[in-house]
Amino acid sequence: MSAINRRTALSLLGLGVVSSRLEAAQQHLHALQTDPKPYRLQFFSPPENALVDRVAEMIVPATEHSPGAHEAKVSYYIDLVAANSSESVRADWKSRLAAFDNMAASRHGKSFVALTPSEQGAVLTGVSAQENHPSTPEEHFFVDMKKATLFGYYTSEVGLIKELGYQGNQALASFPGCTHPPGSHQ
Amino acid sequence: MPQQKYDAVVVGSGAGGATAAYVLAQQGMKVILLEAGRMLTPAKDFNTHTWPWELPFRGEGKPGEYDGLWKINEYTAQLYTNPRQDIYKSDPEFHWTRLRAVGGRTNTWGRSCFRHGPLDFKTKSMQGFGEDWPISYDEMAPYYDKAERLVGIVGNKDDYFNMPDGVYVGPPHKPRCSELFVRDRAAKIGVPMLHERTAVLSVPYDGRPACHYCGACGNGCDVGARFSSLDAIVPKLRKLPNFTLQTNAVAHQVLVNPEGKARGVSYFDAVTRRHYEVEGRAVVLAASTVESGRIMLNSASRFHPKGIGNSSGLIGHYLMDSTKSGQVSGIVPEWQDRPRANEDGAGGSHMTIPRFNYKRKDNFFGGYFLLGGSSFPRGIGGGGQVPGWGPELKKTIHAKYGAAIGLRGYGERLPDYDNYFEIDPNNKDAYGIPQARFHAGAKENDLKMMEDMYGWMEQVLRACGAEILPYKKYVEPMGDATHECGAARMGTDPKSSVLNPFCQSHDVKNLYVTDASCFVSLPGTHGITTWIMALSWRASEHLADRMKKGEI
Repeated sequence: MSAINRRTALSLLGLGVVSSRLEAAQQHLHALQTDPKPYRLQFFSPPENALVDRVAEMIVPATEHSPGAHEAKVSYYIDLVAANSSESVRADWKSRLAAFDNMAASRHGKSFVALTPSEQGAVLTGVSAQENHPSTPEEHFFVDMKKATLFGYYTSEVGLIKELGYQGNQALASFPGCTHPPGSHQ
Repeated sequence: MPQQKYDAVVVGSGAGGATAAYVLAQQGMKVILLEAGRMLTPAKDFNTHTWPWELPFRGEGKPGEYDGLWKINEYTAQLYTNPRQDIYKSDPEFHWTRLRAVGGRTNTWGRSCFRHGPLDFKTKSMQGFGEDWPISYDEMAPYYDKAERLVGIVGNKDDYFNMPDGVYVGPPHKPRCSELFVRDRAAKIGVPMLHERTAVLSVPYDGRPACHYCGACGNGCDVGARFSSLDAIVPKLRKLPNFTLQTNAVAHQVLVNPEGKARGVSYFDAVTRRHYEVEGRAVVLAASTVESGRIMLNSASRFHPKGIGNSSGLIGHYLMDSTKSGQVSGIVPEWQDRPRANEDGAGGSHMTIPRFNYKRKDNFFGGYFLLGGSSFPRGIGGGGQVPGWGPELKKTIHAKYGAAIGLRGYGERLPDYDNYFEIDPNNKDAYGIPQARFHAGAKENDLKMMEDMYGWMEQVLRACGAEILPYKKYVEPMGDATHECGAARMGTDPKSSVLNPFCQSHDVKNLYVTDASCFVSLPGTHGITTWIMALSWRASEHLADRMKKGEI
């Protein structure tokens, strides 16, 4: 079940871990690699997904440093979570998303995804102002989106490794600990 | 199915049961070990190196699936018994962690192995509260030695008050930069920090490899670098001709002969649901404190109307678990945007704050450890609420990643008759066995200790210059620390204890209980597994000796 990558497996063999213990994990890895099914939306319609994708990318955008929520495919993660939520949460996702899009349309005459980036920014700034005390469906939509986007992004390979710079989950021959001169951290 | 008669029927393959089976089998006894769960294959059954994005829900499970549960998540759900499926009642809420598989909870345990010292065995006479154990540290020290050699502990000789150094097979794991920072800052306010004494190998030992520092011990170790009875004891046992392992054997009752002595154990096969009996000259229960007590209470007969070994009526009572606080976290401004490094280490902290109030006069009894965490974690939990959206949000999260320290208290719990479990006649498990129900929770001493924990956690964080994040003060429900113990306590008086000082039933001489049931106190020193193993070792030698002499 343990999805072990090739580099880790080779390191473990180098550290003297018997190969039979790794075979099962290797097989599981192979199964994962030969089964790269493209994600199919389960909950949101393609236009809804486009909106979720756009808002997620605005919350965690691509920067010089790393790609954003779009490249991390966060909208698919949100679709999967929403699809597996309770009936009332599913209804909230749909109605809050619609309220958010309707608000954009009533202000700018177009669906959110069709607005210019600065118009989209104005809409998002408006609904995020009360993020600690959301009351309207649009404000709730922002809070729901932010929570799901941050979790989905920072648990993706893009978010955890490229953006945050996490270097662990490897097989090391030894752990160096602090290598600075004594007294460096007072 | 086994028709032959064994010298000993041991129930449970965790720390206590595997140790008992090992000691008895080494002494030539014919042993059968009953384990309620299945055999595990570490590389298949543990999600040791799984990345969050390799799991559909990134480790959290379907929305709501594990909400309100503890320990169970998408990495570990295949191991634990889910309380939503195998229901028990508790009031107040009790967190009963069950892992039915060979090795039991040693597969996912916390691995901390501090020895309990002279004061911890003589709580009443030396510290003025609780109860004394009928045995002393000096009597237990040689058994700690044996247990530690079997486990493989790494640590540092600290010569710390009331926490005797153990037998270390390797050096402690090297501290992270952040841990040295906390150590030096805490020292300025008189709070000590010690190297963790842990059952994660820093050198190869006993045929097991050293840790490879992937940091995922809590999901189960794929290579056996941390001690589990699955990796370190059961393979030794399976080489012995006088040992039998019976998996998927859910113990039901201790059977009695016409004299009221134990004659064996009945069990259900977890796969077929068929009922079997296995006979032995002695029965050793080590199914965990609650399961062992449940088996005894469910073993009522005309000889033992209140359950076998329960003439005192005390089985289930004096249930303890470490007093565990919630977490307090802070962001250290000077750590923001610090250079990235692989700080996974040996799964958890490499340094820990030991009990430090021995010489202080407090308004509560006992003491506690403060367990810390500070590293570059696999996610942004604990990073705090960051307002807004866009590039600034992303930049702030990047800066705060790895800049947090989290602290949590694990403390002494006083034995209290009113903290107990009993049999729930209206609730039966999947095999029709009446379930346990709990009445155990925080009392005045726990709440006073909790206040003190939070006070010191804040002081340590402030000494580190950290901005303390908003938190709520609370004590976790009992059971949450997975240190439940004491519900069949040992003593010299059969009226006030269930077991004698050798974990032998006062009432039934060929019945031993060698898990944490026998505990008289649960001190604030962190870690009970090697304590269980030392007690089990001593009890098993006693049993083997009595069998050899023909007394059992």
